[in-house]
Amino acid sequence: MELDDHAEDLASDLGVDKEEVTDDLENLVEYSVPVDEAKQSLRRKYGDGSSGGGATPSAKDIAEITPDESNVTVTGVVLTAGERSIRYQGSDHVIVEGRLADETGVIDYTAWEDFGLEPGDAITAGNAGVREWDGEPELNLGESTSLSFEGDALEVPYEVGGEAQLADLRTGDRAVTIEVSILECERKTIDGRDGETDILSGVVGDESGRLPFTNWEPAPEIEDGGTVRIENAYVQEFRGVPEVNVSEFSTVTALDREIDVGSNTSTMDIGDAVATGGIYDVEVVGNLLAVRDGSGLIQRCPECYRVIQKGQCRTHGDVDGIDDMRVKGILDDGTGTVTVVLDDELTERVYGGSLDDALEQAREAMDQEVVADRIRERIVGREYRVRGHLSVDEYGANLDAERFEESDDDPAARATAFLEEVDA
Amino acid sequence: MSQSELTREVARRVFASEFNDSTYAFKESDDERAPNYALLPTGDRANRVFVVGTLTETEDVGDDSEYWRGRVVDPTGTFFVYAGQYQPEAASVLRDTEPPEYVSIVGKPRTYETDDGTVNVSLRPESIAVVDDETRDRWVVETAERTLDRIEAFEAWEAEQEAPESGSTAPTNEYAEMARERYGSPVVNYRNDVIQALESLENVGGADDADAEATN
Repeated sequence: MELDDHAEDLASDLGVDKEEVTDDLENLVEYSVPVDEAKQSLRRKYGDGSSGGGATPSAKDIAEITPDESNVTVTGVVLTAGERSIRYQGSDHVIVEGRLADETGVIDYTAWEDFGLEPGDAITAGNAGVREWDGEPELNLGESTSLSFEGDALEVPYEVGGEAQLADLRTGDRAVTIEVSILECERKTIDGRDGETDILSGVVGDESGRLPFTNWEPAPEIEDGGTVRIENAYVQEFRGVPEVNVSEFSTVTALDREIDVGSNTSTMDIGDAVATGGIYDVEVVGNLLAVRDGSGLIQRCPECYRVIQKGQCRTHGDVDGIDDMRVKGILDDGTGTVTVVLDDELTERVYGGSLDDALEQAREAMDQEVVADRIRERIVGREYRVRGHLSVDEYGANLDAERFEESDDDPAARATAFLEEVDA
Repeated sequence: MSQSELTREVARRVFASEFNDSTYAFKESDDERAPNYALLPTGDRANRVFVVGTLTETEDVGDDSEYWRGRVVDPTGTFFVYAGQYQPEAASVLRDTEPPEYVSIVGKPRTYETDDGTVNVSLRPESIAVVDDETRDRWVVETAERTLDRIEAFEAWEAEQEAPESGSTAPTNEYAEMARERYGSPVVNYRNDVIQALESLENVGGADDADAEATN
């Protein structure tokens, strides 16, 4: 009789014929499958084909979902929904990715079927799959998910839509909306998965900072330059930093407002910046503690442009080197340390002379190390504000400087402000 | 590029009063090449420090070969800096610089025990550079900020020890624990040093403001 009760529950939950469920259940139990396990199995077999509100499997608050779960039922508001094309087992699929929120939290989802999700929709996803990505749970909405739209609007403490500032974008973000100025843009022909194709690549900027982008289906609004609003872009890592991807599903519209690029960037602690694993546009402040070997006057291989030692290139052997200048300096702010790399122009500035001056100085001293020594004397120990691209990889943390300026804030004002804080 | 460059130790900002109290040195592993750390009383480890102060005296204290000692003064005390034949660049700066002069020093803390059993802490420089007064003042402010960060982390940990049932979210603080075991001196002393250091800067605080405006 007990089995019969289980069958009754299951049948009404799943909306299938009770006889059928009873037969299946008896069959499984006869094969020594525990009743609970058997019921789970039947749920999987029949899916949750009934009304969405059927609360199968267990209904969960978003904050409670852990990567250990296999399936959950959640009710929430679609914050973002962005289409993207992927190639899976040889054919193209359009999937929808975004974020879903309830009162307790937010979770990323991927919809493998066309459910027609729009930002702002209140939905219940019955029997959504859970998978782990980067230690966090994500929802998979697929064939076996029963999705229903709730009539009543749901209040959630999160903003609908994917409006974001560039500085906040992280690898893996989907369906983001940005308003940016096109700073650099070039058309490239690449060898794509369907043969040669044209793309646009360059750099965009907003008040918070800058990021590189790739536009897979060249949009005239982007190629024309100026300022644009891009809806439904996604973020992927490229060469150690996040990159904005603008696809065929993204909407690009020209804007007629000015964007003051970089007017609102914040300075980061070096330790925090290095911990992010790489930032395209970052500003740090620290003391220049050492000028490393390989700084000052250097020679590069004419073939590969890599730095050579004593006229020997590691790849091209004995070559006639090209003279150049650079600085690799250790910048440290007490929270972390990076190697700051200055190009020829910045190096000429900190050296206080041109490449010709440096060559002259080296000739007179019959030692090119004097150039690095003079740079050392001029910059070691001082505090600098440095802005550029930070990459963190097997070569350590390197900051390619675009700007390198001695700190000019007033220490007395900083001390006074700080004292007020401490005394308070 | 050598491994040491990849995992370069950060340079701690620490005032002389705290530096000279950092008498306990330790390693984190038995590896022969494992880095040495000095334990800062405010609860952190320091393999390397960055200091800026006034070089007030230099003296060659070596017997056979040159061994230079420099005194570098900050608002809280004096750093003793020693450079010999293995630090030729730093030694030559000490030899050639006419005190007083503002200098910045990157270096490693070293401890040695005197005959009467007291432990002295000195600084073995990797580099010494002559700098200007602005750089020195910036260092004072930054060192004040970093020191206070450590003190606050220490105090948060201490509060957690005293009231564990409060469910505080203060993280475990390995070096604060070690500092309390080894030193037992109250961190509030260093907090007073921080305030004193900031107040010692010119043009800081209420009283000096009028002067500042008059002279600027």
